[in-house]
Amino acid sequence: MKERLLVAGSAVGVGLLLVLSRLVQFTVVQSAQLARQAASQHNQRFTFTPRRGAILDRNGELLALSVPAESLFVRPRKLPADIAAHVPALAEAVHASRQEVNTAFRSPAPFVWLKRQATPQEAAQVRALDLAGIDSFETQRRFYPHGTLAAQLLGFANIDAEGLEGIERVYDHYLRGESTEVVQERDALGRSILAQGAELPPEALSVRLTLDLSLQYFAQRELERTVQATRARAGTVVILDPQTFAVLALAQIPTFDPNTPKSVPDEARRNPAISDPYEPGSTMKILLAAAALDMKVVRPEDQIFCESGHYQVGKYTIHDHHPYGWLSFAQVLQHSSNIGAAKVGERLGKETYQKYLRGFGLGQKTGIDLPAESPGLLASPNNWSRINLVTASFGQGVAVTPLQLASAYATLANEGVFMRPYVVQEVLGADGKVVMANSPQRRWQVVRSETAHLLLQLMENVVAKGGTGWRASIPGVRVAGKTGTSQKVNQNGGYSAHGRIASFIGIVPADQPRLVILVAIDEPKTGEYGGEIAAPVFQVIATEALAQLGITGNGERPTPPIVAPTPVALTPGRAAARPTPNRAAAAPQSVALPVSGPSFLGMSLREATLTAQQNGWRVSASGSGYVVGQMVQNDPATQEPTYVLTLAPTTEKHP
Amino acid sequence: MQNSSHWVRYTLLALVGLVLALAQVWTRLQVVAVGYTLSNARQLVHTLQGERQELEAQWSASTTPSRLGEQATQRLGLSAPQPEQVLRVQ
Repeated sequence: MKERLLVAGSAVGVGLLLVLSRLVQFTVVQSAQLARQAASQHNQRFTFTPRRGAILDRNGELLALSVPAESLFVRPRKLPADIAAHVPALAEAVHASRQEVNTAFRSPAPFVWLKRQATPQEAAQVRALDLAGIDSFETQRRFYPHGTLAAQLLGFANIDAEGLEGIERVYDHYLRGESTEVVQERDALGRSILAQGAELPPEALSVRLTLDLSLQYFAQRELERTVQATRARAGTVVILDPQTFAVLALAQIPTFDPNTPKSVPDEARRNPAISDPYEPGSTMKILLAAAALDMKVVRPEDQIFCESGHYQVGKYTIHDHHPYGWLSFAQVLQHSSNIGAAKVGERLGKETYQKYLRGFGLGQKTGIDLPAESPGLLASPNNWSRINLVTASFGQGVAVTPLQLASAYATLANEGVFMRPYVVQEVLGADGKVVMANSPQRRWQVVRSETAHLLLQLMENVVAKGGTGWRASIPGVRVAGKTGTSQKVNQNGGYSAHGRIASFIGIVPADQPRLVILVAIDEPKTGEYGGEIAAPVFQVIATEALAQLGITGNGERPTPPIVAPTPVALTPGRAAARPTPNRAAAAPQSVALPVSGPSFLGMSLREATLTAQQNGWRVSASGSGYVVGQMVQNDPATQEPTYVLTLAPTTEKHP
Repeated sequence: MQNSSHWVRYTLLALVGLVLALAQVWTRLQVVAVGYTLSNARQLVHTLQGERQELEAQWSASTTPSRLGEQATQRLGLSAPQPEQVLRVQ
């Protein structure tokens, strides 16, 4: 019995020793190696790529954003035997042809794309078919909700979310964000276990532009209409804020849809407003005038003989569109006389003229934050002969980009100060905080502010009755501008017999400039003059832009409505009487004064405003609908009494 | 008597060890369970963010000026006001 116990005890002891030895082997000897093996099975390394950041206009409207998408793929070897029966349904689900789907299924490769960047709806339809060998993974798709609007400026991103053109390219490293690598624990079914806690992957940054979506729409719509109506080859509109040189709109026709960038040739995706220089023609005369007036080589009233339309310079003859005799310099600009400009150019001299042209930014890049900018063409004064100076005086032999010319005019509208144009206002973090901001950059003073003011006055004559740009005039708003009609250079280096660029550049309001608008129509077939083709486009765009920005004729923005704290309801039908200004008794502006004047109650805003205008009363309003309350407050700026109206929607109009 | 007190002591120690081991297993299970919850929550956040972006895209496309202009003129019969029709409210 004892022997048996001994044998059994020994066997158990040996067994325990074996177990203990394995325990020591696993936990001590092979501990590190086994831990690594276990980790490699449980832990998986992932790269988180943030969704590409959005591009916004100046008011926060989305211009480009990334939306979720799924890339569907096929493992042909794992497809079920009866896959052919599902081809029609699959083709319909992914909006592809049956042939394309069959080609993917018959591929000898182990992995074939079925559709990249499929919409969530397409992916859901494919998943509903529940087919082996077809799977997907999450990705992102770039979406431009406004289609062709500002396409050349925005650029586009490729299928791998890399910016290839425009803002998408220049600000790619902000928009793309940084990919982060994380290690996650996975269970046997491949599900993620965030045992170490969860950190949300970093989000990409967004870019806010100086562009105004509404202005861009006005510009592009009018440009498109005009290019179609005149059967022109192309057209460009640039709108700048002359106080900051911020680009408010940059429209071009033809354009493309950045949602499908490959549907057009590469050429159609160019940005001619900054990449394609052209001879500016008569719009250049304003820059000549700025230089001549600033140097005092001419005065607006000085008489210049315009040679009755023919002016011989060496072996060349300069022509005017209409023969003129004696004209004042102001009239030379108003009637756009080439001969008058040529004579002033000769007085100015090529070195001085060039110095001013370079001051206005010609012959060099403006430095805008967009790719592929051209410096234009401005030869050295040493290479200018007399005829070069003469022709450059009316815009031939010099090439500028539309942005350069708009910037030069913006300089005149900005007291003669040249600044760097820019299109990105700021870069924003996911929390809305500003990460990087572009501020207006003053470069240099080109002409004295008095000269700039004088120029604007002379440019107003161009838009006045009898000027070449009269079609650009806007009732109630002072407009300064200049027309241009330039011959295009042909492939042989000479001038095209028929190719013209009709242009107009205007500044509104001329007395307090807020907008500089350049319109250039390339090869219009129904006319050729800037005043005839481009000026009307300017007129429509400027009218709508001023209304959109709330800029009145004198350049002021209407003051924001004062919100009435507690409206004092009045009994309708009191005698209307203008409130008497009583500055001595004026209460602080935040305190409502009792009303003893007319009643606007029940009126629509239009009726109330008309009534106030007819009686010379000042009103401000808040809300929408019909007037439900009114009070009198002193205007904080002028201390004039103002009726503050509160409007509210109502199903029935008040009596 | 002394042997029996040793057995009691060893048994208690073994029980304590067992409880500790069970507690370790339990806490590990809890960590895994919370890990699953976190993982699901993060996935939900990600999905909702995606849906929000999808909706923002639809909203922007629906309110693009060209579409609004088309709706205003063709569906509602509106037209742009003439300059004299515009009243400015201060």
